[in-house]
Amino acid sequence: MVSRIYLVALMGRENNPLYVRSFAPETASTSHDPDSTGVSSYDDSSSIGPPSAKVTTSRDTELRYHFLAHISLDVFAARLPQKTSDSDFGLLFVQDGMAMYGWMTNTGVKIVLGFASGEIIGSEIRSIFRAIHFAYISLVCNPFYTMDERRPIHSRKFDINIGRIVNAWNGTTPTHTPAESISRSSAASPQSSSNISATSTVYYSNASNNETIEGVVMSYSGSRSPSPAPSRSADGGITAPTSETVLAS
Amino acid sequence: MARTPRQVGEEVWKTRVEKVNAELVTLTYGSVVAQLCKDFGNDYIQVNEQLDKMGYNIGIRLIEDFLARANTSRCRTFKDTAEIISKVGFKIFLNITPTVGNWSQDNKQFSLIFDENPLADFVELPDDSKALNELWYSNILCGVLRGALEMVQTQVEAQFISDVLRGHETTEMRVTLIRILEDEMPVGDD
Repeated sequence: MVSRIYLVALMGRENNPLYVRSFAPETASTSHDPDSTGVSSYDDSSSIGPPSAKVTTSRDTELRYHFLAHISLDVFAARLPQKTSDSDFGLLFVQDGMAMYGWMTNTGVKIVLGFASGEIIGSEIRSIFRAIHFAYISLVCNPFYTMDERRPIHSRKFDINIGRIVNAWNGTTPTHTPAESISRSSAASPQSSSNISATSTVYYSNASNNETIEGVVMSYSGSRSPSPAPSRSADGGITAPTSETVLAS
Repeated sequence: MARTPRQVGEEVWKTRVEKVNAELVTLTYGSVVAQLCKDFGNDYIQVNEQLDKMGYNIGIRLIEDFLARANTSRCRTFKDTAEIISKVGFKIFLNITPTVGNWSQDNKQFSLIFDENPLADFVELPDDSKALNELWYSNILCGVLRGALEMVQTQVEAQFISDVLRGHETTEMRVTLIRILEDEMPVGDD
């Protein structure tokens, strides 16, 4: 079974977090208070460990994902001297049932993807990274976006695009959950859902002339029939590796 | 042999036009608008006016270039003008062909409906509600039309009535014919 993306994180050149977003399945009762930092009720029965069928709190998950993103920064720094040309850093490490893959652009922006463990094919990872990279490029090309390397990303369009990429991979329907970005959560407007399909194809055909990107993104939604909200038992069935850190060499 | 405006446009685009990178144009125009917004302290009404003025200055010069390249015959009616603008004018300079529609009863008003707008690629208007309600991002095009048509004795008024950047369904510009300018005799001693 192909694993799902649970985490997307972008980090800037100075290793500052730009965008951390969780796609882990959470209970439907989780509410997102726009005034707070997007964290909802705290449930004591959760535990930091392999994603399970139990209720995982937003706060725990968010902290964990920030933690994992920071670990990946170390791996980037460690491997950078040996890296020759490619942007793809491949599998960074595995921890707590999450496999982390990394991609660094020429400008020092690092993209990190966290997968729940399962089989993952290297070539398909590259296409996701490229799609996220293009979403970042279109964000940066916005003339009204103040290009400040330190500031976290707060852009509705970017949220929608990342959501679309990940949901196409995961085979889920877009849920419009507010992005748990660094300092505040911005509520994605539900009526933008009708524009998603319209803007997306125009988007990628203009962003680059590389038609394989558009082809790949469209093939995700084509080949995977969007399944209804995953049942809890399916998640519980994912075999998690041992929780010790395995640094992929 | 009379050719349709569409054919004229295609032919001129293919043969007599030098091409430039689209992203260069998009980013340049984007930085112009962003800088204007910063300079006028986010007074978007002023920014619209400035864009219109800039467009006017472009239009009065652009018309010469257009007439030299397109070499079309004189338009007999305002409808012809609309067709030439959309099929030849926009085609030559932006490689788009907006649709002409929504003619008024007296045939003095029409709409140009843009299904793609290369000036507005990647653009996301700033999140304050002012920009979303006041800024017409591509307003330079209105000025260009106004200036160009004024040099061929046609006084028009052009303004956007909807814009996808603002969340509307389409990007639509309304063009209204004010009057045909008669050549005025220069003051002299007759």
